Amino acid sequence: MSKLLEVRGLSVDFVLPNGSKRVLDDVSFDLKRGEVLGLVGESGSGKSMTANAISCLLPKKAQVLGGEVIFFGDETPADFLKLSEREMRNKYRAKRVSLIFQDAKGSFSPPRSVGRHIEEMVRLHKGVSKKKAKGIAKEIFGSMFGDSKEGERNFDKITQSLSGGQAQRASIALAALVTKPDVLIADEATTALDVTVQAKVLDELMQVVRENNISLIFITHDFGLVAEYADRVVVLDKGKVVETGVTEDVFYRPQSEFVKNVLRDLPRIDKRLRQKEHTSLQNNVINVQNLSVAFPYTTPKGLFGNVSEKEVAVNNISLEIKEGEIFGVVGESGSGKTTFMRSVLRVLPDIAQLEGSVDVLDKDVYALEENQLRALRKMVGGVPQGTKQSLTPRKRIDFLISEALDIHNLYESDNADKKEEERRERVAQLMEAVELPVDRMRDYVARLSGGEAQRVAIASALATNPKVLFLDEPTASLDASRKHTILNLLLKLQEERGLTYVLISHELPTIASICDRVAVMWKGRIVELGGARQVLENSLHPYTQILRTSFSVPDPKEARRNLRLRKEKNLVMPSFSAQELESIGQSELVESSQKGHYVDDVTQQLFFNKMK
Amino acid sequence: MTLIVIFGLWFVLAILISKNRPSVRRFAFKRFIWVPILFIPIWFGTYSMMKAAPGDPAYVIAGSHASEEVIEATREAYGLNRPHIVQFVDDTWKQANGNSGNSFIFSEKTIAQLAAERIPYSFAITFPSLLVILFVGLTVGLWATFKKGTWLDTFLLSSALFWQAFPSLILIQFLMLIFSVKLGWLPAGWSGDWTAVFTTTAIIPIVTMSLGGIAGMARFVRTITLNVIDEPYINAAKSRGLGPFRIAIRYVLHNASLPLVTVLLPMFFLSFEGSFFIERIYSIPGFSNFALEALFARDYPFLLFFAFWGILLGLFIKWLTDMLYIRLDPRATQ
Repeated sequence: MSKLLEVRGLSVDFVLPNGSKRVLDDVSFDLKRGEVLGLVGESGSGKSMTANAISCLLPKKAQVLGGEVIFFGDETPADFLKLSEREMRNKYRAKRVSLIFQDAKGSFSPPRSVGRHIEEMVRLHKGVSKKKAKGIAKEIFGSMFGDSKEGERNFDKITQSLSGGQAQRASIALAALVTKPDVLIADEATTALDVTVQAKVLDELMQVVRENNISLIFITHDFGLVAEYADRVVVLDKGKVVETGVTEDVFYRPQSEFVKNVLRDLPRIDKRLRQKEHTSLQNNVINVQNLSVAFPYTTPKGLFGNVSEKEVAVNNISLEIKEGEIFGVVGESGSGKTTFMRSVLRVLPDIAQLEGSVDVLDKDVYALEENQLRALRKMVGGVPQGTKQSLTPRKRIDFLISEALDIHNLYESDNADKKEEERRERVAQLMEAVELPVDRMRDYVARLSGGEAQRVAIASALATNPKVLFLDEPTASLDASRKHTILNLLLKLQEERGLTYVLISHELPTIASICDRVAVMWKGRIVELGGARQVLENSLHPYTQILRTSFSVPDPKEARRNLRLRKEKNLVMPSFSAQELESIGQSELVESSQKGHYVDDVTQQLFFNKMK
Repeated sequence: MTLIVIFGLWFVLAILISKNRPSVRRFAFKRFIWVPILFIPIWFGTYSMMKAAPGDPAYVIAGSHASEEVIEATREAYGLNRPHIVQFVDDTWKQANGNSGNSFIFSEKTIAQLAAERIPYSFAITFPSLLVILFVGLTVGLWATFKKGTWLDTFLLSSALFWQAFPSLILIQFLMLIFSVKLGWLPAGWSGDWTAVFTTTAIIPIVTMSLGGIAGMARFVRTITLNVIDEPYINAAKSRGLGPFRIAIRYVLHNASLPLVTVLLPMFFLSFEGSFFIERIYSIPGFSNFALEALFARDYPFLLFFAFWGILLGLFIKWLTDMLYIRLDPRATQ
């Protein structure tokens, strides 16, 4: 394969008021024609900066210190960094080098329909009449959606009324299919999507790329995705290239410390962090029977009328969580995981309509008086998702951690001075327990990193010495090493304090690495429930299987086996219409031949029918 | 009758705007229903305040030297001694039928006739000024946005602040002093009918009216476009090979126009008020000039006419703004 793009010694600085910061330091790599090059690194490693530098779209504060980006697509090679803005625009942008962004919806102007963007693109680059452009645009758009009816339907929509996957498909059509560029840069193109959608969209993207002989620079933080799709890999860390090579070499014979560490730390579906497994689970801590939660809303009808409808977020779920276990709830966005947690904690919004019973520590949560509820809250802690956003930025860490102590007045002494002393002591103990340096007690939340904020949230949830801890997406948006440390911390705390965890996550690897039992949720229902091994290794429900193969493992052979499985067994998320979803009706878990392994046979049948 | 015809036309307009678009139709009619609900209390409040203000209309009609009996008789004749609510209903009925009554100060003509004579003058200076404000303001504002952080931006911004702060009352005298009196290039007052807008006569009032508006517009445009220009879709458009001009018009301006229309249309309405001084000092026989005269003379029929139709016009402009907004941004109805 011939060389198409060569990046040599690229260095970029960010000019900030208090001096400049190096974001890219001597970055060099080649891109060959028709290959998929994985550009992988953790947040802040300079991946996006590299993409922007190649296409000369750096933000104003960025300053290129040196280097070359040489494009060999024409007879005479051109250095992008030396071209004028006009030349770059007229000859190369979109025609030769296109970009797909992470925020697919954000890359379309919100009040314009996606179709008009594509029309504009066709007119700009093909120089055809307005009428003809619309026809071409519709054809291109339809081909991206496979089914031309779906394309037709979405052509005149604005991005607000498209789903994330549809918007990303539209932006792939826009970037790759109109001009068929030589180089396509996909900058975290599927990070914001649900995994099953991500797998679908990426498979489609790879097909587009292979069919049109486009060279793809595939930028992601996910080592698994790189293992699955990339031919070669460039690993970036803190603006430097730490490793380059053929995918198999990088994953099986890593040279750099960084890659070795990441591969060691990354939670994997097939690797358990927790060796010990629970054998004798006796007492129920949480007992949920036939829980349904619905949110009413109104839709307009006719000129003035409204119809009230309701969205069922949690649909008739029953489960028991035993003392001392780590119970995982896994599902994609909108599956009802968080609503389930909020209904057990009784922190649902007022409009929610709840049915069924929720018993926590043998008390019916919804029958309790205010003061009894408060006493119960002491025993059940919750760590919300998006920790950094959920902590008040204007308060100091020690305040946040000790807030619960003040609310429940959990001090031994009555004297104000002594209380203060006690408070400081307890905060220090808790900070030590979550492995935060005690001298940061007076810091503000704004100065914490994502992982540190997570620790503060855990510490504040532990302040009341609870028995049960709910953790909503504790590892989301953390880098591999931080994920690893948080999970280890959780295990350590659990052993020390005999806690029961309910771990809610969309990341199957996180769930797989520490949970004893797992519930898989889909559209508000639990579709499969059982021991972690049972559910993940002998999945009975097609949805679990799809979910499992959608997660890529940082191991090229395994990951490509997933890819093959998806194709051969047609393990692709089917799309269901609203009527089909409504017609499911009541469903209940049925125990399979294995003890303690339950599956929802109604939805199981539905998936089987759909996937035939 | 007149009111029914106007509402009928409005209704037809609502149907035309929302043709084939059920979500827009719903929105258009919901807002339309609100018009009478808002109009009646506002009109009643204004009416009552006018009546409660010091200065009995009977004194105005009968003259300042009239005796107590004459005034009493005038009250009787004009129905001014009836209960407040009866007068309100009666006056509302008259206005709604287009029967505005004769002016106190120009008693041989009805208010509607007077308004029809005067409005073209006002329109002749406000409409061109608005066009100038729109185009120059937009250009300067966009220019400042794209040159953000340079000396040009600073210069445009600070001069905009200067012109915005400069009262038009002073400015027009200043311009007249220089260009009419000292240099003698331009006339120092309006001459001819409203078509004189196409002559040099109109330059000074239009410039005076535009300058402050341009400055405000430019600053406003700059503020909103600066927010738009950092949006990811601008960068994405650039990556697709679109030039800066296309990006400025199709992406920046389209998205910036959403907050803009909510300010622009009401501005049109308000500019009538802004031209009080200009019409007065430049002796233009326009509507504002007339309104000012009528106000000081307590010309009640005029005040009632002005309040009634002014409120309705204001509500119409508001409705039109909403319609334009959803036209530009389909998200508003979803």
